[in-house]
Amino acid sequence: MTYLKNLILTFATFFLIFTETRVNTFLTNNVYFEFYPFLVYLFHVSTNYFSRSSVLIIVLNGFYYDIFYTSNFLGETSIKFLFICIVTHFISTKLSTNIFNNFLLFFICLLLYKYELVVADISMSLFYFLVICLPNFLLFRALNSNLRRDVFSAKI
Amino acid sequence: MINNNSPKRRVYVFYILGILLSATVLTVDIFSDKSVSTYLNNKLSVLSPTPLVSSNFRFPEIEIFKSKSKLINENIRLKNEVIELRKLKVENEKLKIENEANKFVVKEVDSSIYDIFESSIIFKTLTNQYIISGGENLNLSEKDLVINDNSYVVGVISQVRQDRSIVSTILNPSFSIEGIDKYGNEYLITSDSKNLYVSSTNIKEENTDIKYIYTDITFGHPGQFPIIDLSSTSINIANNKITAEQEINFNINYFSNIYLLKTK
Repeated sequence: MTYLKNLILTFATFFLIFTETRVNTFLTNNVYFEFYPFLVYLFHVSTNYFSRSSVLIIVLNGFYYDIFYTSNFLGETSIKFLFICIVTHFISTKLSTNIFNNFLLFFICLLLYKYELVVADISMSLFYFLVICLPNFLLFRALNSNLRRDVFSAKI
Repeated sequence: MINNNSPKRRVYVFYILGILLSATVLTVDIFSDKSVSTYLNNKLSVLSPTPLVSSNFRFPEIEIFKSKSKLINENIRLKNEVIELRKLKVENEKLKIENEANKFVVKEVDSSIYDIFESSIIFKTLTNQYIISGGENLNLSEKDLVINDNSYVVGVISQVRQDRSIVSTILNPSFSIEGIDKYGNEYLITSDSKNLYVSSTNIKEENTDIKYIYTDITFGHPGQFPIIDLSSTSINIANNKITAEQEINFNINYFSNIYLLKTK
């Protein structure tokens, strides 16, 4: 059952990556809006569900991304994804939980996620990614409160 | 006191093991010259379906009970014919537009020397590169050029897969391409996604009357195609170096006409 669950989760996250690239291609002309469902998933895993069962799923997703959507060598994106999870989880354990810290952490996560572009042009990146970060963070908040097991405790 | 065997710490170990596993695969892929990723790409292409850019949408066939009167049948048949005619009209207009665009490119590019393939955008990657249709099936290779309607270079192929290629366009902040002018001066053209920066790397003659900077066969490209038109841009010469900066007036989306060039 666990294997089946992980298999389904792996394919579901493949679909997230597929959707992400597909939607962002449609949004190419809109500079200040990009949609990162897989980043939301990574952030969710790092902050709420940091477990060993996620490792293989993230590694396979990195492989999937490298095989179909980049000119990288196989494994580069997996390392990036795992590194993001470790860093995000480490910082989240050190910070107190409030919305500002959460947003800051999500922003750091986004910068790591798009580090290739940040490195290429650091001057324009910070504001640009801050604008992109906001709707994706709101998406994370919306999903996070809906995914809580105790729905009655969800804050609106 | 920190417990070395705490469950959280063990999870970190699993993540680090994951990084080591990925690093191992990465090393294998580097030393096998990407044969692992290419093999997997060819074998698992079902996991990344390539969506068709041109829609194959068909109007549903209208069926009606045979028992209906002749008049109604006739009416439906005529309606269907009208629908078919409308479809043909739309298709005809699309083909006309496509034909015009192709004619323009064919006029600009010597089609006796080059094969021109029309391509389309499939995906945009996280690094602002684009995945386009056409790859090994069209005999494409790295450094082949992607041109627009006006036959200006707008991108370079950075990786070729079985039926798709990854293109670095001039909108990519890490884009760079080497070029040459009519005096034989060599340049490196880079982009920050808004402007193109021209900087000479080897000067044979200092002159500001440079109209175009072209790609060249010496840099591994298929031939000479204009990258940038500097006729309305101020060119600076200082310290035995020619520099210029020009705003990018190019945008790319799903419906952009882009063409791939290949020497025959």
